[in-house]
Amino acid sequence: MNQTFEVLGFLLIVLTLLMQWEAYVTGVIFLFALSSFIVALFLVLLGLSRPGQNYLLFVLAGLTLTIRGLIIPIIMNKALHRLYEKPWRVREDKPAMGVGGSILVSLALIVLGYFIYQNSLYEVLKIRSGSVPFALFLQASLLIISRRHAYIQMIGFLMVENSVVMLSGWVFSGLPFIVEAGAILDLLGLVVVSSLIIRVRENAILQEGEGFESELRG
Amino acid sequence: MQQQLPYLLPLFCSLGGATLCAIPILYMERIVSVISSHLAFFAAVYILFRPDCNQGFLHVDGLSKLMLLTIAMVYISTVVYSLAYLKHIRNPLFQSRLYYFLLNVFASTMFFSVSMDNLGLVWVGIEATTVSSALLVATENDQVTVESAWRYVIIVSTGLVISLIATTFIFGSAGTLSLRDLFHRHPSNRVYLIGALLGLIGFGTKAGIFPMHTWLPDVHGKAPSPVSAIFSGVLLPVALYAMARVIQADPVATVRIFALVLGILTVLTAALMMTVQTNYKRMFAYSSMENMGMILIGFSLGGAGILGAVIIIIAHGLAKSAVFFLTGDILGTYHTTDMDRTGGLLRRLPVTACAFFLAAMAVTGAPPFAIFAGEIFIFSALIAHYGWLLALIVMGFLAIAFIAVNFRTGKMIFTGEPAGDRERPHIETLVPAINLALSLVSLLFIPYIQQVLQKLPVS
Amino acid sequence: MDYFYSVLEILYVLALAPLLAGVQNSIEERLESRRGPSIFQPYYDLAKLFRKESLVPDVSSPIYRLGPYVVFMFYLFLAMILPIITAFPLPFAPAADFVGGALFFGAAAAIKKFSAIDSRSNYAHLGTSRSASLGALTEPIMVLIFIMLGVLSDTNNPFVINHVLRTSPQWYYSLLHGFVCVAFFMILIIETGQLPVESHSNGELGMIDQAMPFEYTGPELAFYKWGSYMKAFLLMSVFLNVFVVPFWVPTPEAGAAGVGLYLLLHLVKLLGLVIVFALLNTTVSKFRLYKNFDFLAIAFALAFLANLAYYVVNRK
Repeated sequence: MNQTFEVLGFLLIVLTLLMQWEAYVTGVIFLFALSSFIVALFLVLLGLSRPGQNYLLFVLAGLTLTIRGLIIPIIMNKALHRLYEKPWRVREDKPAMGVGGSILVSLALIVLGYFIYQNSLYEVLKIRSGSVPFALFLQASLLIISRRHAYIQMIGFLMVENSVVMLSGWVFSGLPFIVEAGAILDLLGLVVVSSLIIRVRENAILQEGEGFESELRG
Repeated sequence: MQQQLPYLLPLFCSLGGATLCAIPILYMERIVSVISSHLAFFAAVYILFRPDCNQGFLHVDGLSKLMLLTIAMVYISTVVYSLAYLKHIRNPLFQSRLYYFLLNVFASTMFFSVSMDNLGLVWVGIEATTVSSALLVATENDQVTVESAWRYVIIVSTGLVISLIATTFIFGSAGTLSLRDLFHRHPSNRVYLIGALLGLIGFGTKAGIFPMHTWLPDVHGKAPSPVSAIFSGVLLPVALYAMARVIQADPVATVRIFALVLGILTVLTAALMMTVQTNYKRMFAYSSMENMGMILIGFSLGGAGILGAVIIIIAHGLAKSAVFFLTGDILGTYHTTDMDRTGGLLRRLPVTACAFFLAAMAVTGAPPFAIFAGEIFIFSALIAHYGWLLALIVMGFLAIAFIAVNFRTGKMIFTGEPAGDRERPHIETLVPAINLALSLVSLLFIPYIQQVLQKLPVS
Repeated sequence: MDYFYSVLEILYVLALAPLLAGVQNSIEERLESRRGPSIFQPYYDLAKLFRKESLVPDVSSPIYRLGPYVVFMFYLFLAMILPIITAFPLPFAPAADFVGGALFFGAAAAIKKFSAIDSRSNYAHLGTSRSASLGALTEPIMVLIFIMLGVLSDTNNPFVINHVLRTSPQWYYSLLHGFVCVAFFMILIIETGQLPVESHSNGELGMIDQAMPFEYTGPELAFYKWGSYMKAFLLMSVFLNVFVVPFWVPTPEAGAAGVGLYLLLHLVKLLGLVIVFALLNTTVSKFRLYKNFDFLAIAFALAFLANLAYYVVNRK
């Protein structure tokens, strides 16, 4: 079972790398939906591997699939369509870090996650490839830092959440169902609220250009 | 279940208020919000006189009760102040019905966070405060405000994910997330320790603790005054409450020293940043940060430190909300947050100016106010644990903060030519005045607070 | 018998390399609903070029003249040492291992660049500089890939790698192998000039390899083109026989009949890859020149992930 998890984990790492590469926002949203499907699959496999509590894990997988995999991408796509005339052409135009550079930093973070895990937690947990979700967490955080476009930052945050689901199921015995379910609901609320905020923000930027740097400093 | 219900009363009151806000009758949302906030306050007072509740999903001990009370008090004053303030918002993002709805939901999520027994649910509650308050920050629809709301959402939620990871670590090593179990069972393995440390960093993001505090001045500088008030007054302490619970769950030296260092760094950063501000709302945001640092130091020390921390939470909640209400008043009159262009306050708004002066004294810990007493308790504990030198350093930074804030507010009040004629006292000045008075009066209740806190498992 | 196989291999590569290009072109045209030229068009082109006279710029030196012949010779040599129609080393195979093979490819590319520079044409210089800057970044990725194959098989010998992947499913289905395959596929796209990186049109904005032989004419151009076809053929054969489909390659036990059968089977394998390339070329649009480096970064990331997957997964 651990081998399957490894494959899924590395798939997620590759998906995050592809997100670093992808410039178009719709592409990034699609990649995120894909990664949510992988997480749902992971939860199903986790449920199969643990006979005791699998019923709740299946429910959680269903929640993940519908909310993270379908509803959130749909909401974000809708918001994108409402905001722009040509939503498929919306892209990151001034990233904080170039694509090549951010991919290299991302690789460095994966290595960092590996070393941190091996040197601090491996002796306690004894899980062979537990560094993968940590690496995923670091990578997704980098996605937030290295991009300026609000939608991509939001996706980065959602990827961070995905990595936490991965982490809790893989390395530890998972979180209680009620906490996971609450986290998913929070996520949904956050996406709704922030797509509203993003819409207002992008509208303002489209109309007035960016002029907030002086007021939000120090 | 029967016995747990009374402890959920504040939560139900505010949630019910939020639901009723949806009824489309003129002024319905205002009436409902005022009523539900008062009911929540009475419920919180009622809980104060009930025994601790330690069953089911709830964990309501002395600390929770006092937090409930503080939240309820600031909640009332925010609702009442909003009645008068909302007319100053020239270009609202949404109608007032949604504003009151979100305000009620926001209060209920805070009530939820401080009364849950499951650390994971505490996390869910604190994340829900982000969801419900993000739009409140952006009430005023201009680009800078919306940008600050966006920074708030993304920085705080990412930080909170760190504490979700911490929750995972704690659950993985202790096998439970129930606070009452965690207080008695301290697994001594490395995973649990890392979980506690990550928890401090994660919840610290929301509380404006040092490394991830950058959202705090932006939000406080641009949010409407009642929202700034409720943020500073209770939202930050709710996050600190979670940090206090984490410290209680793993009260080993490493965690305590880590929290102490974070607290001291916060005080240091805040004090230094305060000296260079030109925007009075941002300056008071840094002042909140400094107070949060002091509270964290108190929680990390235990014993008298906790008493001092709780006193500061209550007194600061009231006084700082008063400050932000008053800044709303000034902003509504002068239409600027630039300190250099708000001179002659005393001649233009005499009552506001007096209250502002006193409130600025109160939040920086001037002697007659309760924050001073809280700081005394914290310093006594600090000296007992770590000696004079560290205490003197922290005191030095507090002094810098004191001088920075009071010099600037003094300049706003006493110097400069007023841009307009003397105005009659605004009705909304009454709310901060009451809050300020309560903050002063809370000094008298210190013995009672001590008594309520006595049953805490850490001393 | 082995010497016979060697000769057979060279003839096989020589004869079928242009066919591969013709087939790919034809499939692409069909996918775009056009009839297109015959699949033997590259042969006609070569025959035509051999009949023409060759012109040499006044300013060039002998390097310009000799370049295409030397490059062609290099590829002939590589055809003898790589596992193309047999899974066992032929007499010349010990001349170079996998890294050695990569060095020969690199040397051929370098000579190509020298002769292109020597033509003193602006377009050739443009193509050379682009090709050189891409090549400088593909080399480390190749090295990483070979290191990972070395880790997997404990050697640098393509025949042994083929054997390991063919016989042990735990390696064939490992993450390491998957990442290496994808990374090498991306390198293959760059090296054979397929679409996301280089288009086959004549617009000089996106030209990389095509710009280099701008001044060549007659038999030199024919050799140059034939060499390019052979390079693509060799790399694709290596990709199939060593990385992706190491199966059915004849072992010594298979005998002459097996090898004979495989000559056809290999064409089928190549046809599969060519179809993939044709699909790619008709669906994907070209990157801007500077985006190619992002593409390379992803390839590097995958090769690096192969490395990491080995350490994460196979740690004892």
